[in-house]
Amino acid sequence: MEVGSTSSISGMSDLLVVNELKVWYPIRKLFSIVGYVKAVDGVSFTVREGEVVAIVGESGCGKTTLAKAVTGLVPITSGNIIFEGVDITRLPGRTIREWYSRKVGLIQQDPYGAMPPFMTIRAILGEPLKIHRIGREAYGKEVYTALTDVGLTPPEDYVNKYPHMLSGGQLQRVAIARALILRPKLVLADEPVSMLDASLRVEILSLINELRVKYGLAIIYITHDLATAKYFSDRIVVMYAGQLVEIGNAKDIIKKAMHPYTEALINVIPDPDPRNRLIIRKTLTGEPPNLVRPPPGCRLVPRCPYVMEKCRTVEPPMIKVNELRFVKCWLYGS
Amino acid sequence: MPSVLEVTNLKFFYRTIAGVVRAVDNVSFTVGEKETLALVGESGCGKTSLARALMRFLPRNVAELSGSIKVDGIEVLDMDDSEFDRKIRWRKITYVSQAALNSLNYVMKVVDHLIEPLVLHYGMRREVAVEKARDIIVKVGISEDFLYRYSFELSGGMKQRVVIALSLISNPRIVILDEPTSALDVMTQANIMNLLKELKEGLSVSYIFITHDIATSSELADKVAVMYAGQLVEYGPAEKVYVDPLHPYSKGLLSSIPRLRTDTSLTPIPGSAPSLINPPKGCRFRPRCPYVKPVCEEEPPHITLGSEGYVRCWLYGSR
Amino acid sequence: MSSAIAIRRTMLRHKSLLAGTSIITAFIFISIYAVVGIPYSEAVRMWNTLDYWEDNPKLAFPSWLNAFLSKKLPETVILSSTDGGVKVRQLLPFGGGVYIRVEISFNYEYDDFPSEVVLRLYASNLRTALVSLTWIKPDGGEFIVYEETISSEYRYYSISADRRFQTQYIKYVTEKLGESPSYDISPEIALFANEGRSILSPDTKEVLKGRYRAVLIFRSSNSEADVDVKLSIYGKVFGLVGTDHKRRDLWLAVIWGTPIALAFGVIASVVTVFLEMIVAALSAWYGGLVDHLIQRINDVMLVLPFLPILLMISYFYRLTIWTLLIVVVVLSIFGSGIKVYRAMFLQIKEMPYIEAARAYGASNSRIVFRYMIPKVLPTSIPNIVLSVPSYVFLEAVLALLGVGDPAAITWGKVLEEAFTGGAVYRGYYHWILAPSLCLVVMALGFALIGFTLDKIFNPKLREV
Repeated sequence: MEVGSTSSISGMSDLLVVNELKVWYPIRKLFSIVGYVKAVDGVSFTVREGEVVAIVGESGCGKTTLAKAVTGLVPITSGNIIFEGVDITRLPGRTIREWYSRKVGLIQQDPYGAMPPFMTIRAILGEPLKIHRIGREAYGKEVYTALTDVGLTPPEDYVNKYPHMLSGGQLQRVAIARALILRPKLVLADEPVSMLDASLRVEILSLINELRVKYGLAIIYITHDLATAKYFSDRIVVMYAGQLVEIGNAKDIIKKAMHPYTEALINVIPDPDPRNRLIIRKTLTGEPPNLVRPPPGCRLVPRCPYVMEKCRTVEPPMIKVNELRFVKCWLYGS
Repeated sequence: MPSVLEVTNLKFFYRTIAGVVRAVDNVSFTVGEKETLALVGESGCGKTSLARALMRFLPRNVAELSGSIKVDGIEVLDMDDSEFDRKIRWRKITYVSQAALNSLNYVMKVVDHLIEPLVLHYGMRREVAVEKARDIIVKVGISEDFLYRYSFELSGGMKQRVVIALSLISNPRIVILDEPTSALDVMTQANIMNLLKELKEGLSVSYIFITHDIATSSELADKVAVMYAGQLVEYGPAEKVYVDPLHPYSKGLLSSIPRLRTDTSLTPIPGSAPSLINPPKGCRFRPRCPYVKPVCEEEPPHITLGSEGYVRCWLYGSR
Repeated sequence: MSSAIAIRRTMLRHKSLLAGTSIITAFIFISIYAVVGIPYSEAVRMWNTLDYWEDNPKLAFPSWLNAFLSKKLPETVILSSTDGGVKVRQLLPFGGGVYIRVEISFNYEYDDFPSEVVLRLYASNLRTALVSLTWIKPDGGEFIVYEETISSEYRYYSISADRRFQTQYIKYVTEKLGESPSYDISPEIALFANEGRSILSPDTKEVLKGRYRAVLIFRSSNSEADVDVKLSIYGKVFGLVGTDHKRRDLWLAVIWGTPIALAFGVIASVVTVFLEMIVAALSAWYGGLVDHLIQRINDVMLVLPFLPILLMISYFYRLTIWTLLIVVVVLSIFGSGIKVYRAMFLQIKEMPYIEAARAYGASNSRIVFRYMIPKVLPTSIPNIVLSVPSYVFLEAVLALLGVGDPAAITWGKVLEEAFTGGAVYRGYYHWILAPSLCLVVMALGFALIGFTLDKIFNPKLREV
């Protein structure tokens, strides 16, 4: 089952297919496993070449674990991650390191933590090249090109600096340069702007987008902010409590959310408007469920304003609304 | 509307090895009763320094603190530390910082957090203080049972509610909210904003809401002060600033924010904020401003707008 | 350039760093002087060859002590037939052999008696010879100290140890003054005392200053025979730091103890900390079974007593100072240090930059050595510096317990000999003072540097 795959219509090939992916973290007590944190619990989606897919959800919904799984950084409990037709869950660690790590780049949330504090910018950008034995003569040139690409010009002003000498915005540019220096096909951007000033976010996201076009990348943009997802992604995948609840084109989802959770996410995001102060927003109360023992039916049951009897007992399937739209809610199916 | 807080020409500089940091440079504004002033600016523009100057949380390396801060008409800059402590801090003005969420003591019960200032500073009897704590905890939307829980048992949103309760328990006139929700989830953030809106109506309290996100600031703001490089560049009612901003920086902030409900094009502000040690001469926004003209090299005038509110820009000045 | 300025500024801001660095720099210069001036093997040979030191007094105090004393302690005077002596050689008629008379005269102007007087005879071509030594005091009093027939080429005769002379002299004094002295007059006193009534009591005895003459008569039946004489009047002070019981100049031990102490301390400390870090990083990074194994070994090593094990090893194997170093390092790798570093590495392991490195394909060993260890390195430098003196002291303690290298010249070894030689209760404080002062000052130097570096590197201690 390849939910959300649209390759048949667009004619573009699927770069990444994630199929029924489960990442469960074991909880150990003494020598036995007493349970699992079901951080990612049966997730399927596809990313086509050159496409931006936003994965949107609250913290703790499993989106970062999903990103780590796709990058090959956490062991997978079950399911497949198929990249360029190769199932990476079956690859030995060595192949992941030598082949897959060149194909997939990672941009992290915290630009300060993402840089080894004892290396210069030149060394930081050079590390991926050294690891993948990119020729020595190319080395200096690649670093300079990478810095120019992300707008840190002239590059010679930056190469000998240490991370603590740069601002958060500049460091995030270095992080982008590092993620792209091996010319990957896919970049995972895990909340790349949430620690930056609101006024800087658009700048950084535009930069990522520019480079996406330039190098023909596909991007998985992980965020909690639907507003930026609307501007910078082709498709949005909404994640709640380890599962995907809605998939669709970005514009469609923002225009008309189908899943109650998506609706709530849209409701809570303010646009700058003086009338905001006069309204009380519709929100979901309570907290997301415990991922060790999630509710038996729909996982939104305790917070959902439209809850029905059926929701409590039977888990809703991913219902296909049209070729592009999928929603996991009983409101849209029998 | 009588003003609760009146700040005039406030300057707050401090000394570092690199030079004098002009963190707050000639800032004036007023906050009325049951009114919210949103203080918006990029990080490093001096927002938090302004809050610290108001609360008088001063570092040891203060180079200058001058101007006037009047709370309920009383000048507080003339007070010595002990008088300020007795009369103003935590009584008239309270402060919710970015880090407050993590400042709760893990091994103390919620009730002990809440009654501590009442018992220690006001000499209230424990039973009376507990009653008051019960009152306030319900007001911030937490069930009474949670009074006797430890703070590690609370979720992020609940902790933030306790911190807000803590800031309100002494019936202050003004609460300074310094990025109170930026560490929280979107959903929790909205819930806290709803709470703050309700509390403002219920209790007669004014807020100074400090944030870098102009969209979030509109959730509470009656008035908006846009801060850039230590100065207020635009100050006025929400209806004016969010809809029809005058200063090029305010315009830039608003047009760099992605909006969910309308399709506007996004234009980031080019360049980065200047250092507060050696800001550009004249208008500090000059190097990034699309409307820059030669006269901008001189200090821009305060153009007063309406009853209160001003913009600091040569576009609107006569010359 | 700018880093030099930065270092100078840091030094000036932290006076303790300046003081500590000066102390250690001084020790480093002493080390260089020692290593360049006297090669190690040469120094060891010297130290263990007793003949080399025969002209030094035993257990002498440092010379500078005289600057603080009203009664000056004597220096050593070495006299011989060729140097300060007059030798007259006469052949006896009718092949009767040879008669040699050596007269040595010298001024003795010190306020105190010498520590020891020794006569050495270097004879040649003798079958047997009759020798006598006559001692003539400045006041004209004279007596025969020594008379014997010798048959060996070399004769060592310690007047100080001559019991016969001592009893004879006491008898002589008793007859002369009509009263017996209240103490055993030692030969040195006999030779140099004023023979008035003052000699009768140990409190009033005094040196007779002036020109002394010692006359040696040598008669041999072999006319080919010849003799040379060395008369050593050992003083009570010597050199900068004095001598030990084997007449050795302690200065050599101070000088050569420095590079050994520095090398031992620094190598032990640096190697131990580095190995600790590597083991801890591997333990934290791999986790699971590797971590379990390392931690259990560590727990076992933690409860094993360090010193007794070292003592045991040293009883079974003869340890040189360098094998001792290896044993010390091996025994100190596992310990609380690994626990501390492991805790730090567990934190570092979760940092985003490690995750980024894994994402771009860094191998496990690269992550451990290029990403984890360099992060901890700055915080471990103060630790390295601070643990140097503990290893220097450890070496001294081991030497004191008799575990040290018997050949090596270390401060600890000197202390051990001082201890067994009863330096403390016999009042030879200089013997202990020199090495222990060196130990303390070196420890102080490293401590000053270490604590200041800790302040600079450790943000928790940094002043706001």
